[in-house]
Amino acid sequence: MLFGALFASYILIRTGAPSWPRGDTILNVPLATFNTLVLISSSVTMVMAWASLMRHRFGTFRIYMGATILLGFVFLVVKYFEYSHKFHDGLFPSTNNFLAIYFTLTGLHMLHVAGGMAVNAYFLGPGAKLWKTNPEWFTNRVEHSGLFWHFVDLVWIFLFPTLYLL
Amino acid sequence: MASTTTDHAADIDRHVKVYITVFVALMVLTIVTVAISAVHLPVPIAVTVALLVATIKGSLVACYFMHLISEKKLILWVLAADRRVLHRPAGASRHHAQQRLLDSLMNLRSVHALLILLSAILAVLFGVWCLGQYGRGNGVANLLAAVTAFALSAGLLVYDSWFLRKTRTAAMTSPSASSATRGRARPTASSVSWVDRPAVVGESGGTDRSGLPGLLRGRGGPR
Repeated sequence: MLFGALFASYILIRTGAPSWPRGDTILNVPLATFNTLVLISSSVTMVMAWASLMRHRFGTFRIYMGATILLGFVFLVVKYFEYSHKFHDGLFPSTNNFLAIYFTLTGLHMLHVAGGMAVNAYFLGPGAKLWKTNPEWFTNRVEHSGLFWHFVDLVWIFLFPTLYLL
Repeated sequence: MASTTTDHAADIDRHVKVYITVFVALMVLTIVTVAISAVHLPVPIAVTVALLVATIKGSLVACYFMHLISEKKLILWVLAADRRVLHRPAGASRHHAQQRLLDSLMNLRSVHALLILLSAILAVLFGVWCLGQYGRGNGVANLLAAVTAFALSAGLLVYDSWFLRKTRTAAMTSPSASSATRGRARPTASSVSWVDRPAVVGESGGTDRSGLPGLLRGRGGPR
């Protein structure tokens, strides 16, 4: 809903603007492509973590879950470099409409990534206790945190072409 | 029990193969979409192609990673289950004629059908607006958008009638699972029951309206 409203705002602002820059004239496409691949990979490791639990392989789960969190972290680090580079060049959300919507959408998305990482970290750390007492519940909880993570991936899949390539 | 575990493991192995395939497809599509953008196509075409690729990628994630494709029956079941079915044990209010009327109107099935219908109408209106823009000589993109909107609207109507037909009868009468396995997962607190799916089933109780576990079995859970 939140992202849907912002996407709608983006369309309105863009169609209403007399001119609109192509994303790749301002933004760094190779970095964003790399980030897309990172996020897709993290979605795969997430689903593999869940599949490991379904096979009752807790050790494999820990590896995949760790990889998921690590990939999320890589995503955030790359995003940090992108942001700081923009700020360094004097490009701020207040500079123009394109940058305003860019920072709003990607910033909000980053918050979702951070939130998903926090939940995943909980299931890798303290939350993993549940595996010993009730593996079924634990598996289902990991599946649900996975659903959120895939949703974050899904949003990025649309954000990437919209902001960077068009 | 041992045999079901083996079936189950084979099931998951098959899933993992699918995940890998989807992963490769997503990687390839990402490269494709970046490569296309390097060609600098005219904006309307570039937008169409980029969003088409993104939609394919998004659908892959939703259908396979989020398991929506194997949960189609479950989703239909949930949408089709009206409040009378879900809240039968609550009792008290069901004798109220007014309340029952409200229940029959306010079930997920009719709300879903209505929203799809509204979306279809909205798409038609948008298409008409686009045609108007095109009539005023505002570019081919408007004509393209109008055609897309009408096609979308037709698709939504087809879906709506399919959905109504599909959920009229069959969805409610799925074979029930044995209550013995579900008993274990009975929740201690209802707040967690929505997180742990078996508990939801455990909570809803008896065997008479337990289409849910039967449907869930298709995609397999450690139960």
